[in-house]
Amino acid sequence: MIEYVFEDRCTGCGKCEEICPTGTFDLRADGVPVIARQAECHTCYLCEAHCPTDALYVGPLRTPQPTSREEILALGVLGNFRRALGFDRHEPGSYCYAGNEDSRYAPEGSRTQQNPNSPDAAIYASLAIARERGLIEVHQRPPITNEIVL
Amino acid sequence: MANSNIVDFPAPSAQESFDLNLVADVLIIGGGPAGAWAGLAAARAGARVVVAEKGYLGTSGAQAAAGTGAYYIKPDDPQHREGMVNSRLPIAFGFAETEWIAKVYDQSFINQDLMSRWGYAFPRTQDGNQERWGGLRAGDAVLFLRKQLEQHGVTILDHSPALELLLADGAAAGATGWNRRTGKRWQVRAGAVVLATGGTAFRSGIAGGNNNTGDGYLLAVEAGAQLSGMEFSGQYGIVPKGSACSKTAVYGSATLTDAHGQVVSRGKGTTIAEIQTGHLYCKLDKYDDIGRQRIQAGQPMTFQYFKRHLHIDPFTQEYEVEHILEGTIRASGGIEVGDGATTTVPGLFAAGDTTSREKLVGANQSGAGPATAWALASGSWAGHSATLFARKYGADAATRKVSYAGTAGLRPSEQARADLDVNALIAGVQEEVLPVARFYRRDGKVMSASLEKLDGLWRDARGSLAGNSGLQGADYARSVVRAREAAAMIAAARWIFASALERKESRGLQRRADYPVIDEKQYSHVITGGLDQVWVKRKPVSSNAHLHARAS
Repeated sequence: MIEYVFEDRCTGCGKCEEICPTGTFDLRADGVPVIARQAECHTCYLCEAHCPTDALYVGPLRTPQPTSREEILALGVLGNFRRALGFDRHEPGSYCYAGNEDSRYAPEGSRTQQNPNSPDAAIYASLAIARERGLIEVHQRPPITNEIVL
Repeated sequence: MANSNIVDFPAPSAQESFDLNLVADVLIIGGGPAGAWAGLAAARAGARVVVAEKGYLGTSGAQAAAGTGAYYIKPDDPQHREGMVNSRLPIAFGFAETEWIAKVYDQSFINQDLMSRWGYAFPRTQDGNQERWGGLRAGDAVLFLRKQLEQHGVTILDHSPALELLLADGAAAGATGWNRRTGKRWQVRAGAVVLATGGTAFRSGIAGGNNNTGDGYLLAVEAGAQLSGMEFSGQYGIVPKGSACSKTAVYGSATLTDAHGQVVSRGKGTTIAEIQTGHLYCKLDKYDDIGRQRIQAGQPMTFQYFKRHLHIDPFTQEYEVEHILEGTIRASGGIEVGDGATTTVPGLFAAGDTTSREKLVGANQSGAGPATAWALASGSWAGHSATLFARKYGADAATRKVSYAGTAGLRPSEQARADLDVNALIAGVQEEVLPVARFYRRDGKVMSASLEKLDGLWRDARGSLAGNSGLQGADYARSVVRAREAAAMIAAARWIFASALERKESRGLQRRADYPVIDEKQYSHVITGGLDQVWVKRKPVSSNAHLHARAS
């Protein structure tokens, strides 16, 4: 659950209140969020992910877990979820190919080279085949003729 | 609404007043992956579209919080296709259909191809050359779809839960609701409506689950639609003790033990261990060094628990875990839909987790892979069908005479009672459906008692539950929404227990303590519906599924 707002880091952009799916925050006149309805929070971490200045802290429990500024800072975790989603490098939802993309900037989290015995391994293997056949190459694929198969 | 092609609704009703009146060809209720795809399909087919989302389209819903790997099956590789379909059939307990599965994956493949063409960067392989389709990232995939919706001129109403459907001559004709951020009341008149409201975990606390209160079931049944397979709902995830994150990837490489240190297997083993010995422990001891790095990078939400709360090394040290209800979000029961995502109500279509996924995964869990493919595919079908319906029958959408279909929580049949505590009603439902000891394996007598209690809660809600008239503005809107959510959860639990009592056997996610084995005489669908009087009936399984069940 959302536990803490670092007012000194907050720029008052209001993004957290805008995008919170459960209406957990209210905004003060200066744009700083107030945790007005903590019980509504469902621990999705997406306010943290959208906060450009890492001014929010979400605790991992589904019940309140009061903490302090010093305790949170000592954890050294502010912004780690945002960075894990790649939102520090790309505007959320806008992560796009732009010319020749450098794969080093792809978001973390590709689970591609997992355990070869996992059920997904067959999918990745067939992906390789699909690529050989040109199915996956974005710039070379033929146009879609039937968009809706019904 | 700068980029909108929606016009103001010209003639507000005399009895009901709204702050916002819109008219559209297609109204979509719910803005997760299914609702977003319904919006895109409808807009691309030329419809004027409004999507009304309870939270914020892009962050709301189970997918946005969790991120999912959508299964996909390449259409041109018979081997790949056969493997994926056939691996699913034996665990579907006779309800899945090969043709249906193939159709879902074909459509989902096309949707993912479109996402890629529009610029969605699927995760890449380690060498950076290859897209890993199916990888719909948390917090990112639905936001990407939002941007596509905006580019397609779709009107998005954020923070705007729909609370009741409008009906015209028995056909769905729009909806009304409240904006719980601004406190404004809205109405959308539409030629057709798509329900994409997700499943429900009864606010068990799973990450991203609080908005999923089963609203779509209630909206659908109030309009006259029916539900299928609601007994297939006893789906639990595993979380570190007290955590909200029920992502499962790590438990495949873990050792799970009960309170006495006995190793147990996932699923039945872990639930029985927790119920009978009281505790369940976990150690992620099957990862090598590289696996540890990868899983931590790939599952950032899972590992916050160890960074922010329990400061141990989960790869070498044991920690306590517990089960948490994921309910129909990850199970297979829901609104019965046919070809083209049709319900039994004219002009009402349904998509994603709110629908029955029995033809895809049978009596078992839909997981993230099949469920996400289904959300994409059924969303497209629903949006497309709704457009066709609206084009043919919805020309007078703005002016036709409508009735308001809302019941419990919204339009009490007697005097609204201020002393009726909505949170107590919700807690009353949760007592019956959240505890793993009660809901995972079900007993007929216990369920009958639950149903009796829930019938009482429904009578209270139906008679006297409404928003808190002592509140103003957004606070009042939130109280109306909460009342309606309570009604939806009470109703959903009643349909679940009525269906589970009807199915006197154990099959897939329906586990009966008093009927512990599969009974072939019970091999048919359980259909349910009704409000004040809940009914159940049997429906034969389609001959397609029947053949596959015999063959497998």
